Amino acid sequence: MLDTPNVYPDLSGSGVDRGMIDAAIDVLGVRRLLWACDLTMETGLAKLRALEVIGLSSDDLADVRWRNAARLFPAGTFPRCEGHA
Amino acid sequence: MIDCAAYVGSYPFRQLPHPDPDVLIRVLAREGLGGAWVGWLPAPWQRDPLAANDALFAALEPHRQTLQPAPVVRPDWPRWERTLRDVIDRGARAIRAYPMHWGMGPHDASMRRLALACGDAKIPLLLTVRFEDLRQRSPLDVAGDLTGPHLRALARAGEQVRLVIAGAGRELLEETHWGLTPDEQRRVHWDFAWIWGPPEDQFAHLLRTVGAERFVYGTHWPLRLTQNPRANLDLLPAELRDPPIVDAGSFAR
Repeated sequence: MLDTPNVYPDLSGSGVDRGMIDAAIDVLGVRRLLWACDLTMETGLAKLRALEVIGLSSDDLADVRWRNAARLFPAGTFPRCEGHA
Repeated sequence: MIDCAAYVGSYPFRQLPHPDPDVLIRVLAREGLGGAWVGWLPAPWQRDPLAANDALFAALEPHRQTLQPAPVVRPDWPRWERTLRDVIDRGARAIRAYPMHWGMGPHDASMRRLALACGDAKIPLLLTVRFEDLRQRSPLDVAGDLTGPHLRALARAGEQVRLVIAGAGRELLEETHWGLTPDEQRRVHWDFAWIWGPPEDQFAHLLRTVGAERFVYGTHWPLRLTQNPRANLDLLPAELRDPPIVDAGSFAR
């Protein structure tokens, strides 16, 4: 994925275990990752909380949590994010 | 509340960030947990558990107020009874065993003897169903998940048996629990780190049917995200909030 910058992986999936988010950020950087929960909401919530303790700046945290998605999806998709991305 | 399913040490199939005792101490504090039963992560893939136990005790020695050893006893090896006595004398709070990794069938006589001996010593036998999801498991990791017949056979071994099962999903838990008598069911506790929350709400379903008193808290650190079980508790429906799950630290010796 490093060589395909138009591909944005999300963090969903119940098999995202410890160390995997850190590794994805190390390789791809915070601007390529999108938070998502897929179907299992407790793993989605756990990943939101895990993002807070792996040493990201508040700016980087915002990128992964919502800002990358707000930049990527068409205008109007996330009305509450309009003007903040 | 303690974490009954933590490890230190390296994992053979994936690089884990700093799986060290001092890091675990900080993680437990961050998660609001008072301590942990800690196993030696490479041990399931080593034939001889003695060296693994020595490494575990040495690693935990500076942190024994918080990190309680859960060493391995392999009951198909000579003098395992002496190993059991030794590790209990050295402060073990639970005994780990890996029958799938040791090629043992559901009715292995030596595992039954170990369960009974642990029961006599009033120490829980801690069994791990899986370390990783099957979808991402290394092709070299061929042990397979612990099965319902294994668990039922051990729960039925005797009145004094106490089992703690880490890493079960709803299917295995129900297959085992509903195949036991009420007395046998009370000999088994489960962690809920691998049980789905919403929208399927399998954890909520099991709290209503099996009962909160059958559950203990386990994180599976350093393999899994420690935030998972807390998120599972926080997403319970309002009527099930703060379920009276059991603190494994209260299991008396």
